[in-house]
Amino acid sequence: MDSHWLELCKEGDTLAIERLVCTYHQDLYRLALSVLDEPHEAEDATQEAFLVVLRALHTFQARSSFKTWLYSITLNTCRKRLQQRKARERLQNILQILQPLHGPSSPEDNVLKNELDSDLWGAVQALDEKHRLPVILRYYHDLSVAEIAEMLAVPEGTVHSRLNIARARLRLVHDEGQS
Amino acid sequence: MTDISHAQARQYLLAVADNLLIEAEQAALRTHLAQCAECRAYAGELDALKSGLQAVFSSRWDHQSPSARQLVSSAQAQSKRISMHYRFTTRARVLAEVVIVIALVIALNYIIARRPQVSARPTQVPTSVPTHALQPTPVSTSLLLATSTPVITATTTSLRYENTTRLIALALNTSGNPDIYVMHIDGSGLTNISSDPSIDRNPLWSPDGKRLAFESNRSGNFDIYVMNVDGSGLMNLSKDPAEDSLSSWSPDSRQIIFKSNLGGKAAWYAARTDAVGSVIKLSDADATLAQAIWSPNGQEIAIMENKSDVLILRADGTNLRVIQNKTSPGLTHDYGCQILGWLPDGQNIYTECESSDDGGPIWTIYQASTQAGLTHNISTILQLVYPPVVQDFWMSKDASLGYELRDDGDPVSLYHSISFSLYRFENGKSVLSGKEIVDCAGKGYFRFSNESNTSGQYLSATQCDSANITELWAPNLKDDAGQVVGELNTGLPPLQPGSSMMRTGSTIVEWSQDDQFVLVCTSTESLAQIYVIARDDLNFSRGILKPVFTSQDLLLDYSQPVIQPVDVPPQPKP
Repeated sequence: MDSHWLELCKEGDTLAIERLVCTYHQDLYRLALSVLDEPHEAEDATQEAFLVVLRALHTFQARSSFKTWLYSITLNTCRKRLQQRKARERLQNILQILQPLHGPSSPEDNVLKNELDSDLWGAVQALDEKHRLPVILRYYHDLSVAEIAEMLAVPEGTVHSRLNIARARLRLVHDEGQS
Repeated sequence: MTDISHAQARQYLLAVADNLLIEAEQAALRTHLAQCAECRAYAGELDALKSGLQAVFSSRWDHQSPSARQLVSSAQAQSKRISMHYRFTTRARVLAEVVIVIALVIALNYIIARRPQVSARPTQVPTSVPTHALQPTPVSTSLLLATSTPVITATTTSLRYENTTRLIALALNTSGNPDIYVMHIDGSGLTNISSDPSIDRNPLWSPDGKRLAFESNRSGNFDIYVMNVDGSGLMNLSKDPAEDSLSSWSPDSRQIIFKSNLGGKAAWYAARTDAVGSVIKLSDADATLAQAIWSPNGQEIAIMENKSDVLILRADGTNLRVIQNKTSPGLTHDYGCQILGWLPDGQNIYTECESSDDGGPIWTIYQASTQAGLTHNISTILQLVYPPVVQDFWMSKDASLGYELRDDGDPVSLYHSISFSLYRFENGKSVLSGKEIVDCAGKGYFRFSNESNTSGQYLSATQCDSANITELWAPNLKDDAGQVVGELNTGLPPLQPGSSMMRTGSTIVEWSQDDQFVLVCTSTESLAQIYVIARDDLNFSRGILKPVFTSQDLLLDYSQPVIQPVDVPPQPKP
């Protein structure tokens, strides 16, 4: 989205706002869903993030990527919600919600693969937040280490290090499941 | 191109996974993989993990996103309100400024009219703020600073603060944008000292305790600023169009090292703290994965970059030499290295590298000479092999090494009752110096933070899954199990049986630079708390501790509160 459109958004132009929302809505929703893992809350967080963006738009300096800036705001919104969310029963829900994967494999293979995925998902959930978020941002959102570092406000080396630690833990589960 | 070792190849493969490998390293890796079936298998495992994760994430989250139509109308309405509000506040601000100017003129006229004509001596215009506002006073007698904002409550505590004048610096987001605040160590006298509409973050005390450095984007991008304790004497030290991040003060408080991506590549820079525009570049190499540590006398800097290379240079950027890199004999570093610290003689440093073999990770501590002409003079000091898992290394002021082991050795099982062992490495031998056995009756636990001070005194924050209290543990050998020295009522609820293993709060332990105090920050749901404990209070159990400060706006994620490193005596009035 170029600076001309952003200027129009700052002035409250309805068409520009519509374009802003339509351009980034799906990306921000996916980001919120991957952090919060709950569709309704992700929808609320996306809406909240857009409202924060509109309020903060006049402070955006356009020196960094607009998308990275949007992601940072959404991520902060989601992290705040994570902090506010009370601990609740989720493991059972996770097991129920997991969808069977499609493919021409046998029922036995499906059971094994779902068990592996379930183990891997459980291992991802078992990571603490500082290791889980980089994994999600890297492997689901395909963001670079530099972009993740900017969003989490930590050095790039820290992101790489956290990813290595997370990979070492996840690889144990994944390799064990495959063998 | 010469071939690389298996260890290097694995390190490169991890870097490939994050697109961090440069072209020459990619070529070396390709050559190695063509000849090495073992490393190809490792690469396959990493690829399989990537595919597995992508499949899991995709199956969970790749649904049709909800319609944006309702959001569009909501955003448009909100935008109109913001636009109207912005126009209104701009006009109101102009009006308020006019009113203030008129009031000042009236007040000035009134003062001049009432001023007694008693002396012919020429008046002296004050050039600085009052001394009492610059220096802290004992917290038990008077407040240093102005009143706090109404959203924050501070409490007193029975712990011992009466003999200290030092302050806590922190970044708070009370008015929609983070500013730097200071308060007394007992939580009183909170004052905003960097009030600005931009983001101010990461306060860092000078070692003499007289000034604060911080990062601010008030110029449009993050620069490095310094100021006095009361916010006066503000200077933009880096003043460049790039994003700068603060690293450390020199021991004499006269220089600051920071990282900047000027020119699109992260590199180290140093700036004098008494003058604007005195920035020098320290290293041309990519400082993305790097650390920089001052020598004890502040004359030289050790820089770790490219995950295993150690450079030594003078603080003015001269006399650069490489004392450790990938070709150093005997160095194994698949997972990268870190500098543990300088030895007191200023002639040697300790580095710690993590590597792996088929049995699991290996941790090695090396001693490297920093003297010119003795490059790559490296010797192995200590090596630890998995299992168990090394949780942490540290180096005490007397250069003795310490490390903590998790005794079960399973890096995945984070949620079982487990014992930790603390060792001190002296005269070539590891000596058990403490144990911490966390017994949560088989219900699992979460260890938020563990931190050693420079004397090797260790403290961790742990909460059993079935408990609603976070415990501060100090390992010891007296009862062979460690001791709970304090309990924090953070409000983090117990985990229900069968629930996710994810905790939604955090607790961070941080020692003051001089080891006199430990600062504990807890964050849960919408509440953050700060506890301050004097070192002597860690010798016995204090029961439930009182926070010195609570807030809904504390920035714990990327901006830790920090304790003033030394007591700064009040300056005599001029």
